[in-house]
Amino acid sequence: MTAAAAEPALLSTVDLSKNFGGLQVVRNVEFSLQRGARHALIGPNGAGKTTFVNLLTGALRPSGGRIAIAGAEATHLSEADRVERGLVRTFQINQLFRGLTVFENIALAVAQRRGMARTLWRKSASCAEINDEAMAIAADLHLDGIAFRRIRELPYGSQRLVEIAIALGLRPRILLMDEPAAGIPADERDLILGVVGRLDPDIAILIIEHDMDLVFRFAREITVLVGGAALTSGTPEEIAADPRVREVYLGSGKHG
Amino acid sequence: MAAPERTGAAETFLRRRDDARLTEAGFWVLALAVPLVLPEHAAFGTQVLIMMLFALSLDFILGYAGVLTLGHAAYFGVGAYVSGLLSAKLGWHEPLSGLAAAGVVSAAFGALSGWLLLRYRDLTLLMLTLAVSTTLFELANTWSSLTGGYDGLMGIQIAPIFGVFEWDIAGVTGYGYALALLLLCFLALRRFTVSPFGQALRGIRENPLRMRAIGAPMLGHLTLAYTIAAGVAGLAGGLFAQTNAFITMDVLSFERSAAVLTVLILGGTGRLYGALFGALVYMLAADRLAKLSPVYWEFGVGLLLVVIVLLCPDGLLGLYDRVRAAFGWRSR
Amino acid sequence: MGHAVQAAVSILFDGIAYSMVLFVMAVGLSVTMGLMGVINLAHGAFAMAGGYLTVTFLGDLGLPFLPGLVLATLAVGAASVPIERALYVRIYRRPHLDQVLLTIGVTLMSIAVATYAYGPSPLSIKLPAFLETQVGLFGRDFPGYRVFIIAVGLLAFLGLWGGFERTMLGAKIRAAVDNRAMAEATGVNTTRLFTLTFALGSALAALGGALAVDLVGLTPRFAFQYLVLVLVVVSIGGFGTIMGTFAAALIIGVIDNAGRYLFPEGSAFFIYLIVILVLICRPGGLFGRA
Repeated sequence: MTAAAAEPALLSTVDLSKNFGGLQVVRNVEFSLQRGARHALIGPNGAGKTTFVNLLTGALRPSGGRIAIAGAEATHLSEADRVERGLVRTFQINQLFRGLTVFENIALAVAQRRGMARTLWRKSASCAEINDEAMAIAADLHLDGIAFRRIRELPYGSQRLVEIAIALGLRPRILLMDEPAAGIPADERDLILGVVGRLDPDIAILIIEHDMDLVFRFAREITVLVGGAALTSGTPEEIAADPRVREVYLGSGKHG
Repeated sequence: MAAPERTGAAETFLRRRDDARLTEAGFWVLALAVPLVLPEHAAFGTQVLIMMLFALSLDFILGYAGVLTLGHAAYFGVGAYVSGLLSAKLGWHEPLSGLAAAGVVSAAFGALSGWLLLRYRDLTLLMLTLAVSTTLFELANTWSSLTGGYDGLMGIQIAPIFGVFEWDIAGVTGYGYALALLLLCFLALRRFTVSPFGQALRGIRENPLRMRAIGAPMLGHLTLAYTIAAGVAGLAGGLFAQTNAFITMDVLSFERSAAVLTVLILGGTGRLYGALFGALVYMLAADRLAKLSPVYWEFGVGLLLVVIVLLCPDGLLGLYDRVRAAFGWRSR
Repeated sequence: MGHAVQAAVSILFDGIAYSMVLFVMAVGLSVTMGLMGVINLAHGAFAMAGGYLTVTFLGDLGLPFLPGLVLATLAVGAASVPIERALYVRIYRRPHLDQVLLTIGVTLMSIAVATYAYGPSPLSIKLPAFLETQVGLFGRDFPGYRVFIIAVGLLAFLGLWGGFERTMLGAKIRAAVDNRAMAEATGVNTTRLFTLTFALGSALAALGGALAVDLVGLTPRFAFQYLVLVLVVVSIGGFGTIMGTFAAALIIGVIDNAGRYLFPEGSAFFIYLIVILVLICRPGGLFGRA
C-alpha cells in the first residue's frame, strides 16, 4: 500500500454496465484512476472502450453501477457538471470548431472554465485573462505559429494537437483520451507521445489506444477490456506476459 | 507566463476580427442623410429600418447561434400587439415606454418559449417554432374582439416623443425614432457578438457536441441568445405598430417569418450587416416590383431564393467578400 | 339524445374523410423526409398542382372524373422526377436552412404560377353524378363523395402499408430510412430509390390535393395552408412511417374538423398546442424514433 493509494481515487467505477436493448456493451466494470495515473485501456475492436469512456463523461447514462469523482457520487451528474469537477475527454475523431482558428478553439474552453462564457458586455479582445492563457497553451503545444489559422486549413496532425489543447484549456484533473494518435502518420506519433508525456504529472490520464508501441511507452498501468468486461489489469510487464491477454489480443503480433 | 508578443498577437487578431471599420460609418451617415435628402421617402425608409431591426434579431439567433426558426414573427407580432393594444385599448400613448413594454414582454415570452423549445434540434425544433407562431396567430384570430383579427387593430395613437417631437405626416420624426432605435440595438448586438458569449454562440453553431463536451450549458446559452433575439424582434414589432398606427394579424404570420429568413439569406448570415443590406435590397425590390405585379414579385422572390441557395448561400455580402478575395484584396 | 349522436356521427364521419385526404397528402412527405432527411416545404405545392391539374382536366378538357383524377396524379408524379434530379439532389447534404429556403422558393414560384394561370379566386370541380348521391351504410345515409374519399384513403393506406412491409422495394426503403450508409453498402441504389420515392410521394400529394378540391376548396394559398397541416401530421406521426402518418392524420383530421364545428370562433390553435405537447413528450413523433 503506497501513500498515493491511501487517498480516494480521482475517478472510480463500481459495477458499471451499459445495455443497448438486448446487447450488453459494458459489463460490471470495476475501475479506478489515481492522481497522476498513466493508465491505458486496451482491447479488441468492439470491446466497449469508447462506450466506457462515454459512460465516464456522462454522454451516456449507465444501465447499472456507480461512478465517483474524487470520492463523490457522480453517476447521475450531467456532462457539464463532470467537466466542472475536472473530468475532461478528447475524441477519437476530431471534434473541433472547424470554421474557427486554433486560438479561438482553445479560448472557448478557457472562457468556459473561467466562467466567462456568459460575459456579454466585454469585448473578447480585451479579455486578457482568456487570451493569455489560450496563447500559452498553444505555445506549449507548439501551435503558436499557426494559432490564427482556421482548423479546416490545417494538416490532420496539427488538428489532433488542437484536440488536446482544448482539453488542456479546461485544466483537467482527469483526462480521458480516446485514441489520441488515431489517424496520425507513424512518424508523427512521437509528437503526440511527447505532448502527453509533458502533461502535468498530477493529472490522472486514461488513454484508449490500439498503438501498442505508444501504450507500452506511456502506461504505468494497463486494463484490458474484452466483450465489455475488464479481463485483467496490471503493469505493462504483467500484461505483456499474461497468456490470456496474448490469446485475446496480442496473439497475432504487435500492431503498428 | 505569456510573452507580451503572444498576447499582442491574440489581441491584434481579435481586434482585426471585431473592431468597427471606417466604412461602416458610411452606412450610418447615408442612413442619417435619407430624411434630409429624400424626405418624401421617410415613411418608406422607416419601414426599411424596421425590417433591418427585425432581421438583425434573427441574425443573432440564426447566424451566430445557428438556431433555425420558422416562427420568428411570433416575437415581432407580440411586440406589435403589446404596443398597439397599450395605445388603442388602454389609452397609453407614450411612445418610449410603449416600445419598452413591447421589448420586455416579447423578451419574456422568448425566454419562456426558448427554455422549453431549445432542448430540441433539427426538425423537431423547426416544427415547434412554427407551432408556437401559428398558435399565436390563431389565438389572435380567436380573440379578434381584442385584436381586431383579420380586419386589424386600429386607433393606435402615439404622443410626441419626449413630449417634444411631433409625429409629422411626412414621417421624418418616425424615421429618426426608428434610426435611433436601430443604432442602439445594433451597437448592443454587435457588442454581444464580439464578447465571449458571442464566441460561445459561434461554438454552439460550429460544433454543439464539442461545446457540450467542454461543459458549456447549452440550454442556458441558447435561451439567453433567444431571449435577446425575441426582445429585439419585439422592439421592431412595437416600432411597426407605432409608426403604422395600424396592425393586422399578418404581424404573426408564417409569411412574415419567411420574409425575414429571405432577407437574411439575401444579405448573408452571421455578420449583422448582412441583415441590414438584405433588408434594404428586399424592401426596395418589394416596393418597386410588388406594385408592378404581385404575381411577378412572388415568383421573383421564389426564384431568388432558389438561385441564392444554389449559387451564393453566403448572400450578397458573401458574394462581395468572394469578389474582393478574387481581386486579392485583404478580407476578414 | 338521438340528435346529438346523429350529429356526432356526422362530424366524426366528416373528420375521417378529412383525415384520409390529409393522410394521402402527408404520407409522401413522411417517407421522403425519413428517407432523405431533407426538409421539403414544397410538398404543399405538389398537392396544389394536383388540385389545379384536376380542375383543368375535368373542366377545360372535359375528362370524366376518375380518369382526370388519375391523370393529374400521374402527371405530377412524372413532373416531380426532373425537379428532384435538377434541384433536390443539390440540397440533400446541405444545412437545413438551405433546404428550407430553397423549398419555400419553389413553393412561392408555384403559387405565383397558379395565381397567374388560374387567378386568385377559389375554384371548384364538378363531381360526377354517382358521387353526389347518398350512400346507405349501417342504416344511415352518408354523402357519396366522402365515402369515396374514405375508400380511396383506406385503399392507399393498405396498399402502401402492404407494399412497405412486403415488397422488396418497401424493404429497401425501410432499410435506407433506418441506416442509409448500411443500405448502400448492401447494394441498394439509394439515388434511384430517392427519385422513385419522391415521385411516388409527390403523386400521392397530388392525389390528396385533387381529392381536397371539393372538400375544402382550392386557391393558390393552398400550397402554404396545407403545408403547415401536413407538416403537423408528419411531425406528430414520425418520419418514415406509414402507420404513424395514418394515425396522426386521423387524430389531426378528426380534431381539426370537430373543432371547426364545435368552436367555430377559433379552434385551430388546439391543433398547434397538440403539436407542441406531442413533440415535447415524444420528439420523434408518436411512431418515430426519438
